[in-house]
Amino acid sequence: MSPLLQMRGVRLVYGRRHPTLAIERLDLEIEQGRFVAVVGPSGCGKSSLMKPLTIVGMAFQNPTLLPWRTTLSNIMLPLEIVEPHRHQFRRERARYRQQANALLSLVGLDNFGEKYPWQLSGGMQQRASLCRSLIHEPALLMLDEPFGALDAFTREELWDVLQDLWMRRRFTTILVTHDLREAVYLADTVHVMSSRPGRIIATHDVPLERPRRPRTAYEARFMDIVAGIREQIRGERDEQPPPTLQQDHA
Amino acid sequence: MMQSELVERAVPWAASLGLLLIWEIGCTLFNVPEFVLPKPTVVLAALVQWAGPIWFHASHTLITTVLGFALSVGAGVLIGIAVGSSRLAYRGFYPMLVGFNSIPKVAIVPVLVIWFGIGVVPAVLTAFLMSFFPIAVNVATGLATVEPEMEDVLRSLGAKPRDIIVKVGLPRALPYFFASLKVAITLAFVGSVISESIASNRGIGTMMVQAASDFRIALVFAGLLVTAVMGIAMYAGFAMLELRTTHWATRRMDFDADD
Repeated sequence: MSPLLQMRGVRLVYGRRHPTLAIERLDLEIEQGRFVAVVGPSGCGKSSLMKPLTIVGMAFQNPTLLPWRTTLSNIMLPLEIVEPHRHQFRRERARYRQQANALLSLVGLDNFGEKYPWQLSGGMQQRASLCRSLIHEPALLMLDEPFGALDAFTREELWDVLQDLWMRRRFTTILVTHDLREAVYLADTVHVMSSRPGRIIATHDVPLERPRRPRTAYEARFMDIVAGIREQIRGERDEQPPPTLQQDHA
Repeated sequence: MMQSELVERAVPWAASLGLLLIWEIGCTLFNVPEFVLPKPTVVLAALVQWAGPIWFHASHTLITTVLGFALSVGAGVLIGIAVGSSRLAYRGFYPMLVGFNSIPKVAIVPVLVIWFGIGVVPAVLTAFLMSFFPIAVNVATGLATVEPEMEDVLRSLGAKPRDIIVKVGLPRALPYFFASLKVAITLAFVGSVISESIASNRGIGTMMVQAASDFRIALVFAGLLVTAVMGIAMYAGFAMLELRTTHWATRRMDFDADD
């Protein structure tokens, strides 16, 4: 199968006065319909991966919903911006509403569309944020620590929500996370990034069958994979001295 | 609950009445001469006695102020958008804006009179010059403080800078904008009254200067009172508008009963 996304020798530098080399010689290839996770020590430039890409769906640790819009209207925001939806938005509003409502019900938020985001719990907001990143059926979904701010129970609940959604729709996904269990639970392939400047230093396939369920996370196979990756990251951190380039505070 | 709400509604009136009462009693107690500080009852009598001329001048001031204020809303929003959405415009214009705002507007009125003659135009312009700054600064602040993550979300969708301003920046700036309107309208009154008292033959400012030179101090205070009341009324109007349009920013936990 041909890759949907191919990055070759990507290099990313931040800041003009005190340049920080965030990514160097990064190669990454993602096939259509795959779920890929990128893990690595903190500050390794995982999130920087997202910067060069456009017309993708995105969700962050902070749900970034707009407080003056209802949840439903928040979810429909990408349709007001992305072509070709943008130009037919008024005409197709009814159909788009239906699509948004369908997504909401897939993540278990039926009847919450007319509520404002600040009337929802953190987990609910993150579900809505997921819906927003998917409404325009992007070729690629980028998730940057999407569950990082949630409590453990809600987080694991949302793993399943995301997995079910993905199994239905099979959108190509890149999940950036520092939670190794989350990466192994959700992804087909886990890429390990080195600390700055970020590079992919290893790739692990996760041969666990789907759907994975909470008890999967307690199986020996699962824990072996997680332990393997953890060792690798720890080794990586010990090998490399802390980055000598100045940190960018801009 | 009901009682505390009633108290809350009554407090502003009670406080104002209290002030007038202290003023009245103080004047009586210390025998303050009327041409120094007239008692509220005397001011009220002047208000009734001169109701016709006061209305004539006050309505003129009101129109002048509203015109100047409308100008400053238009210009303030435009300047705010420019300064808030472009780093270059910010760096270029901000020092100028601050410098300009530091100039006492009284000093500009004579210049305006030379340019436009005595009357309505300098008053409208002074009201405008007094009040556009807070609007511009607040709109700019609302725009400039859009969360970078929100910008990333929109940019990843291929949004142009204009989309970001329209979809996120402006709605986000709305509470700031309304807060500034409340400040700006009162400043606009200050501006138009200043200009009228220096160079005009109509308006509450003119009337007060005239009354003062005729030693009709009660009438001066009546003018002040009317100006204050007009300011409060406009302020209250915008406060109400604010509550209606930006309820999400003053969110009270108004969950519906059905969940």
